[in-house]
Amino acid sequence: MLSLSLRQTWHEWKAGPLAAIFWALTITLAALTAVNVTSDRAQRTLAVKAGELLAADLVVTGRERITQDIRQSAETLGLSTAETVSFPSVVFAGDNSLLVAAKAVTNGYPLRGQLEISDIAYAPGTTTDQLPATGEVWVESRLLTDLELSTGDLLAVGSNNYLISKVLSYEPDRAGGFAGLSPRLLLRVADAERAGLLRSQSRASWQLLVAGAPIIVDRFQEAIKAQPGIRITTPEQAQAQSNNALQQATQFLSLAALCAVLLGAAGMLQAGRRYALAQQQPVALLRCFGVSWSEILRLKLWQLLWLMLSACSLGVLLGLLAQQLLAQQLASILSNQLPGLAWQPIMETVAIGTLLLGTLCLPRLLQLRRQASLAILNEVAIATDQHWLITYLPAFVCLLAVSAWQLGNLRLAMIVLTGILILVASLLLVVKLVLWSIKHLHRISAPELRLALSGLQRHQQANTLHMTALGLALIALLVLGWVRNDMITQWQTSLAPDTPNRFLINIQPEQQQPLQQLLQTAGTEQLEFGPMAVARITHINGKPAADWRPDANPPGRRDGTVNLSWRNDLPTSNTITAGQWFDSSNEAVQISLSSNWAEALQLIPGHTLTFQSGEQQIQGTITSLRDVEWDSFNINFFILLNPEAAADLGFQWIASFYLSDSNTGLLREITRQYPNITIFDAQALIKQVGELLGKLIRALEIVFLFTLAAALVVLVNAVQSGLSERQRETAVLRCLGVKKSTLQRAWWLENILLGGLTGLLAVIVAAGCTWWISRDVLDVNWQLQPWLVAGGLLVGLVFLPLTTWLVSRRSLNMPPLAAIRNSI
Amino acid sequence: MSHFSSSSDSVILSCSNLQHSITSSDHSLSILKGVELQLKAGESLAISGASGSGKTTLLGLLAGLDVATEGELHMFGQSLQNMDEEGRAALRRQRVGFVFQSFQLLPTLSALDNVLLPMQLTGMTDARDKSLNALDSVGLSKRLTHYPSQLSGGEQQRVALARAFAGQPELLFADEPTGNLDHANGRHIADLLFDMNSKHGTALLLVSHDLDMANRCQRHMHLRDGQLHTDIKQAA
Ligand SMILES: Nc1ncnc2c1ncn2[C@@H]1O[C@H](COP(=O)(O)OP(=O)(O)O)[C@@H](O)[C@H]1O
Ligand SMILES: [Mg+2]
Repeated sequence: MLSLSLRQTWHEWKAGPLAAIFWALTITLAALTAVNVTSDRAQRTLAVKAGELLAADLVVTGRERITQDIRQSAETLGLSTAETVSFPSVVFAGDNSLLVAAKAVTNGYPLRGQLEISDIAYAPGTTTDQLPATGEVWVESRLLTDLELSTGDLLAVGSNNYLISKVLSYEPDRAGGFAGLSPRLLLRVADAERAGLLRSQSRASWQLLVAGAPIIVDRFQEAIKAQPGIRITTPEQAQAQSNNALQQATQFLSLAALCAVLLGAAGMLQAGRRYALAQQQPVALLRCFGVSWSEILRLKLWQLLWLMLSACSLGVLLGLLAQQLLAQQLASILSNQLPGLAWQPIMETVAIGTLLLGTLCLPRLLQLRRQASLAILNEVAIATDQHWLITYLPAFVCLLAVSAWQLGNLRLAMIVLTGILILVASLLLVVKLVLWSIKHLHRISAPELRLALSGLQRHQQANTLHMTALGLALIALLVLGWVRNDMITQWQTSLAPDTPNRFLINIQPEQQQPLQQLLQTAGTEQLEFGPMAVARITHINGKPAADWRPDANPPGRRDGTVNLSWRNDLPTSNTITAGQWFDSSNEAVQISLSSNWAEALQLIPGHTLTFQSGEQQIQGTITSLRDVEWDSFNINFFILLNPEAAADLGFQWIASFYLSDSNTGLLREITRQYPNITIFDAQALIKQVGELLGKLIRALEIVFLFTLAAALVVLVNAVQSGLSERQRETAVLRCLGVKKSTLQRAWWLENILLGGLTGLLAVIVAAGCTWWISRDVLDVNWQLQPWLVAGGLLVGLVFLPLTTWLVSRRSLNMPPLAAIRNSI
Repeated sequence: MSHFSSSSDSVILSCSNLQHSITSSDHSLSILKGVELQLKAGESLAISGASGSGKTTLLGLLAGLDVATEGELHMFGQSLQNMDEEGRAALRRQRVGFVFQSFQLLPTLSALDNVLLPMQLTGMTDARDKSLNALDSVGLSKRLTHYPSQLSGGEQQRVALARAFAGQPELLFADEPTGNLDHANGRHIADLLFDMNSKHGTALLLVSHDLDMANRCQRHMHLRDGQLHTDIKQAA
């Protein structure tokens, strides 16, 4: 039975349907393997012990250094402690500068888990208990490649130069998290202080790491939890957070893979039906010869097994190759290197493949049991169809289960499946409608066109399949391209040529005068200074702020502090939506809120707010709400005050200006002279965001390649299934004396019309989808994209006819006699 | 082989009062109205009749491919009426061969594999040698690897003959084996059929409206109005 089934599979392979099942399954498995193995590798970066994710058993975070009191209370309890402070900084090497995520640490860090270091960029790391020595820094691989440095080189950080002694390849408390935009720079707190980096750092996040026996840690947490201005993080919280971020990213990829899986499933369902139809005669014949059903079934099951094994091998192989590319994209987004391959996701994928084959193709084959052997003698006695539920219910349940498992969310799976079903149904409906309306174009005289139009009509079932298959794939690809372009243009247009592109924050009051002079003489344009204070809102309308709309989730920081500023005139990128701008004749405290912030807290003009800033307390009335263009790259604030109100507040200056790229020496000068000042390079930021976006998009594109391949299988399958009908028709028309050239022209016309219609439909649907995505999901401006529209139409006009031609070329050129004989 | 000769005058196929009607949604069509028939081992019997008279239906019933509405039917001494489809198939296994009007070769298999597959699936020993011999005896030993689409109608039917005789069945059903062939090819197939039949001592139930062919059988019956009439040889 083994070799027999193998030979049988090989023989039937050439007939088409079995090969279609094979390719559909292979592509499905490849897409699943690629995404699942990648997600597994990414997820396993999280598989470190929960405590290691914090590098401690408990972390106390604050915007200022955690007070001596708190540290002491930990130490007297016998807990070990360490301190870290994270802040953005610009580093320099030669003419190049780079924004980094600096982290300064004290001895003892990390309290849980271990750092891993290496000597060259992107090399696997080895664990270490050391920290950078004084005067040395450790950096992430990305920094070295970006600045074209290697270990042993010097790096200018703040006012000092540091030796890059090691490459930092793993930090426990960054595991699984996204690296963010800037690479890591690790140094000692004492060095950071010496370089002036920490002096009145408003962007710093200080952490006190604590570790020890669980009961003592609990006691410590109890003791300090009422302290103001701090946030306590437990390992469980940390894990939940990083899990969340990764899950979202991998879910995104899973969703893309699901497109390929569902199209592949459609292909398998369709090819399975064709295969079962083609098996009716052989089964009936074998039954005549007295072969029992169980023997036939065994043969078919063996064949399916061979199919399964070969599709698995090829699919998993292709999937692993794609996975390598995916992991490359993802690894550069994630902060740490990905762990190696594991067998489990591959096994799971193979199991899913078996399940899909079993539920999509097997019910059809089982239906052959009812195949009457009489059909061999008598054409009239064709096997009765089983109830459609028996054929499709297992398929649907299985697809739902696979989707739910793949997305890790049953509800989302239901939504996706229903959405696709609705999309397919409406597509089918529209296609039917279009084909139906063509019926009424009979007054055309050109014979080719008339033949083509009636052809569209005659092959309605096959054409509907073609259009739906290609249409779905086109829609998927168009939507991807569209959204991607939307996002990229959004980023590019957000920075007009002469708008400020560099920002300085953290400028101390006494630094403002000399800095202004330095900037003016260096030839900056659009230079503007503004004050900024950090405040905590204590009361709203006289009630404690915490009691006001406790469920509200205003944008901005989570620790309850906000940045505010004051000025006389309305900023240019703002527009008043409610109330009046500040009345300069009025000395009372007037407050203007950004409308999105006010909406979140349900605040309107007339409400009162009380802030605490340093020692100062200010109470005032909201007089206006402003719409703020957050993406305009101007300095914007949720809260603005009239200058009179802020007279006694402690503050820093922030500055914005335009500086041409050739003049980066100035930035270096600023960090050298004023190491505490943080420079934001908007240009570099845009570039970095663009790169990140590019990587994500590339990862998606890899997955979408499988979708394209699956769509191709469905399309080819659809063409093949309509082939014999077409052949017979062509032969009959030829026999009736229609010229071959006329038939050929009509054939091309029909397919070009079909493709054009498909392209048009896909473009319309994609435009609708992207319009919705832009508006409701991404919150960007939707734009008509002529190139994509043209591309979609062109693909329809060229791709569909060409594929159809390639698939059916041989049989179309068959002499009519052969075609007729073949179809008997 | 030995049991063919030892049971040469035993009845291997018989039916009495065989009736068959087909009911569609609104009316019922009675095709067979009490057919009586006996076929002994090694005997050849031709059934002729007008097109649409029910010959194929009768053959299907006799071979156990369908169940008659009414009547008794025995094959190899066993009653077919109370058997399920599996049981009837098991009875045919290795003992019954078929030749069809439309050849019914599997398009995905070569000539050799077409002969081989049923024998392999029914677990016949020396299937390959038997297949090669059978194809040789129909003169196709040079076309073993050819597919049905590469063979003419006559050649296809020769492959079908090889398939039918390769397993050396006791009973062969043939439904208009020359019906789809031109005269010359038809003659050739008929010659081959009767040659092989006499060589193997197979009982033959031949359905044909070709009187020449029917007359080459030992007995000849005529199906008319749903009943079999034996008088045909004299009448012709
Ligand atoms: N399953 C069926 N459903 C309806 N009518 C049938 C069926 N099988 C056979 N018939 C009818 O029964 C009659 C006899 O058919 P058949 O046995 O094929 O005749 P023959 O082989 O002698 O030409 C024909 O009129 C045919 O149309
Ligand atoms: Mg007939």
